[in-house]
Amino acid sequence: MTLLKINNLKVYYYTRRGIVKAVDNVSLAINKGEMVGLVGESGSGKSTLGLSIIRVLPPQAKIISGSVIFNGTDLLKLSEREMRKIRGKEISMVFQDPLTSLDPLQKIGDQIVETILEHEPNISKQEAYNMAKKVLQEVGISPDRIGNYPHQLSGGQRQRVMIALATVLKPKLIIADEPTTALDVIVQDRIMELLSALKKEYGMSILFITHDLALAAERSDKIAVMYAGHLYEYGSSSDIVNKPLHPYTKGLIESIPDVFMRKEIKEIPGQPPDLTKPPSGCRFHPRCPYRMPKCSREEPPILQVNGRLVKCWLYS
Amino acid sequence: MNIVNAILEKLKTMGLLRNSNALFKAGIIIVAGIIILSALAPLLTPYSPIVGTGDELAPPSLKHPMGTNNLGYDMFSRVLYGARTVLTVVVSATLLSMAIGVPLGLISGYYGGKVDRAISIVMDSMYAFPSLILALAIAAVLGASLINAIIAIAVVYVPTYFRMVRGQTLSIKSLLYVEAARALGASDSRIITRYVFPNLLPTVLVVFSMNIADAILTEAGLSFLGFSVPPPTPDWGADLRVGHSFMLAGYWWLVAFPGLMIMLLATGFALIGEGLSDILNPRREAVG
Repeated sequence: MTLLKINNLKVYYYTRRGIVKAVDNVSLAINKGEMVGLVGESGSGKSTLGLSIIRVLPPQAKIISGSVIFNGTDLLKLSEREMRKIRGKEISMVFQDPLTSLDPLQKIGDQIVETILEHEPNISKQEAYNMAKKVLQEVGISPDRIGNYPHQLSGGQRQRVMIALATVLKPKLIIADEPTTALDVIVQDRIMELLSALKKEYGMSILFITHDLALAAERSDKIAVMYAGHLYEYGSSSDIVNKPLHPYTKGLIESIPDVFMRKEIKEIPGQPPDLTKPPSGCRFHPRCPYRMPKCSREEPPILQVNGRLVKCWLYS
Repeated sequence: MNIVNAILEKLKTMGLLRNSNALFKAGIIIVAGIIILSALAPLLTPYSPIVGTGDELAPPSLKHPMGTNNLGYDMFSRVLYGARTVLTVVVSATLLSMAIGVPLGLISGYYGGKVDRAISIVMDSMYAFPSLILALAIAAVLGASLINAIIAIAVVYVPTYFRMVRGQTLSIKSLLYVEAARALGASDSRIITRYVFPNLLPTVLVVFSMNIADAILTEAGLSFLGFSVPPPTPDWGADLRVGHSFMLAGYWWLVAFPGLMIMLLATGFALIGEGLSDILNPRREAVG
């Protein structure tokens, strides 16, 4: 069952240097109870895509066209007030940097209680506190830490609190924007474990935004690969890792280091393009080892190949 | 309550409540001393500040520790009771301008756009005037009274709060935890009151005590020029005005004591402000 369907979404940034087409004609569907890893390098538009789902974009960003259908409603058509009811309750977000995403002056319990009361004004303060304790327990923080300030917690603990904040009202979708980037690998693994457990327990869907393809492959059911504002490949994790179709996905997989040093790391030559003047045709063509004359002229369509989506002329 | 607790906690974690720095302590001692003396005035002096003792222009003595003025008022009593006037005017004026300037700065900084530009232009043009001149102009229009002095001084200091709060709001609203709160469904008003305001409160506190110091001088200036409380209400600035015409004749105690008090009280608040800003300095926080 489809929970979220993004159709032909375009999000542009209006900057002094020109218009940055951060998300350009991206379509993506997420099913209920599914974790989708959204992979791409910095500036590929993956975070912008995540932020536009719940419409908390910076002021210079504009959603140009497209639709974001969540549970049958187009989120882009809702008023700000209606949208506020969705955020935190139906769709939540976990941010990259747990060190700065908690208010330093509020006790963690108060921040959780506040989020509960914002959405459920009928719940008593005492009940909200009990809910906060329960959710802290769930994410692996001792409930007697409820009176702690963020600075009294470690980075991993703070990210757990962020996840508690995001999941206390059991939303249907969690957008996790690089939730483990600021953490060391051991903590990273535990946080991912926690997200997977919550997904299983409550049937939540998770959009896991990361630049780490290996991490995404390990935990997600599906992987979406973005490059320069376009979605280039979308399919099941095992398919994508074992048999990448798009040259960019191949390049990403080849650039993952192997712990046993059995293979050499191959980098993708070149640099991601300046999105104020993206390359013509396929945006990856200047760096693509398989490029054809057609690639620089025409933008490839999104093709369905063996149950997955690929945007490349090689498969037409 | 939450805010108060948070501040106390923050102050505690910064070591303020345990080993506060010397500047801050000195300021607190001076200010608290003056407040206590003025509160205890009826116990400390047998004379009313507005009834002549019949002893005119008497030099300091055991009977009149600060002498008497040309009307025979006991200067010690006037200095003590004058502190009440000064503190009332200055503290209520600063609180009032804080109550106006802080919300304006929050709105301006948070929402930006045309509202911000409009408020900023008004505030900047007010800021362009020297504070005493602006206060004088306002007091002159409104007339000399306690309330009008408060209003005049309050208006003068609104831009100070506004500019500081607006700047802080701009930087706080771009922090991740504000974005996170928004992503979890917090409304603008809640973000402003629960996330932005508490985080700029320490800075407001510093500006508040610095401002009081400045407002003391402005109040003294106003009343020296006759635009504050009408006589015979005890007031340091007003006493300076009366005293300065007798100074050359050698009656130094008429100006020396009120002048000294103005200086002391202003210094006290300035020290508190300095100390606070030192204590609340983020770099110090990082080290401690």
